[in-house]
Amino acid sequence: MAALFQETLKNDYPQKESKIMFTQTFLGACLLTLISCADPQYANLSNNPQKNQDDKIGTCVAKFSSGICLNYTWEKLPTENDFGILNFKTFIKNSAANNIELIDLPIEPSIVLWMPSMGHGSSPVTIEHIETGIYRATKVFFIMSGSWQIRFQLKDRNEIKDQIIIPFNF
Amino acid sequence: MKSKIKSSSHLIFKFYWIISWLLVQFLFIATPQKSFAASCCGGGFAAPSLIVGDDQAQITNSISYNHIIDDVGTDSLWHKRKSNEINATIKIEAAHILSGKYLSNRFLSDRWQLGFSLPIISRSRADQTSSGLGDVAGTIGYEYLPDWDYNPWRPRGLGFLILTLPTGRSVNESETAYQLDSRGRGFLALGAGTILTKIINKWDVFSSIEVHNSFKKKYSNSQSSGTLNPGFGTNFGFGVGYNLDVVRLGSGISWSYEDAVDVTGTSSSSGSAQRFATASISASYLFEHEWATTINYTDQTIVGSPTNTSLSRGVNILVQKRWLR
Repeated sequence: MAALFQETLKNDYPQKESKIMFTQTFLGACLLTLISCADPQYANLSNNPQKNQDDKIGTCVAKFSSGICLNYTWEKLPTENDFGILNFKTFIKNSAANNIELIDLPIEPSIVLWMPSMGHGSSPVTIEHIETGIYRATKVFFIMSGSWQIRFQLKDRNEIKDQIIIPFNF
Repeated sequence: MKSKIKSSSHLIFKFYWIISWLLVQFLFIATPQKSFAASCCGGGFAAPSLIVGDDQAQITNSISYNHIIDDVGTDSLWHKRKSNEINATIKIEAAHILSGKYLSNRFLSDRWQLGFSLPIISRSRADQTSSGLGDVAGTIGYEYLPDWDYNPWRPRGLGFLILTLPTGRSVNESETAYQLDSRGRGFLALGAGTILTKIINKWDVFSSIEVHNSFKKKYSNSQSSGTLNPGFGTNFGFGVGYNLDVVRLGSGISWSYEDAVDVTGTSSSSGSAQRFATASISASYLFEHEWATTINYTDQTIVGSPTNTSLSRGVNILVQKRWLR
């Protein structure tokens, strides 16, 4: 192989052919450059982080497999520079009495902010148990704009026993 | 016999040229981001961790600042980044050809080379900063297409293998606010590629392509744990430069693509592929025969069709010292 390389270099190359191939490559590269200009489509700025739509008490935004309902409201929406504060309640609905009963989750909940397209999370969230069935999550922060998920998880060590996933556009 | 060798040689040459042409025409593969320092006087330029000229060794120190401008989602919609996030990188890169004392075959020895890249990254956002080591890389290169006879059209070809170590923490392992302690992709990756260069009078042109595979790994932080399954990634780029005595002006475009990262564990998702392109312009000055400095401006917001990525603009300044053979 090495000898072949040596012979390759000694031979008189068909320079016209080489020139044609080089020119074709160069023109192809120029064409590639011309068609590569970006065409940014910016997201509508009015579609800003949504508040929880439904903060009427008794509205079950999502339900754990155990039947416990969850409803959340933003005390403070997160921005690109500031952390947000999220309050959530867990309860069971008593359809007979047409009321709700606040109830603690069987396991201390954790919240994971997850960006499914990128496959990563965001800054750690701190949860405080205020009173029966009422929790307060602070340091809620999304590191970049896009489609996120707020995952309310009930974990036993590293095993997820139950989970609610709520989509969130930031 | 001579005619057989001649025809075989033509075939080999043509094979390399066709492959190079096909690779140049691929749209969505990109080069690893390497700033190109120029040497003047027809000497071409160098990729900092690979020697593409006639030098024996080189070392490059660079500092760069990148400002994140936009985020692009999987729907290809752009979002202006309102927060001020700056990434500063100090990088040391070096390469050395192997001499006869390392390899028994002296003829082949100086066509092999070794190189490394060591970045130190500082990230800041709002009132917080985090600094540390980024992903370290090592390269081994082989000049498979030398330019001994200075053919006017045949390029010089350098093939390389690149091993990237996950010394910069990945975003999945981050524990801080704004994830500023993440300074790398966080995967062990092995890649292979080639660089083609050509000097024609005062002009120099280059093209490069690299394909790599990242290996899966387990991860864990306070929020989640599991396994990360990355895939393949590619880089492709080309550029041109013009030499005016001791000054070189250059420009280039590169495209990058990464497969989706599939995450399994306490937080699972299948992810989406990433794609972005980087345009650059540079000016280099050779202030001694073996010293050169380059200033380079890069912009990821003006070319390509990015998806699922952040885009930045940046400035890079480097100083390079070379040793002649």
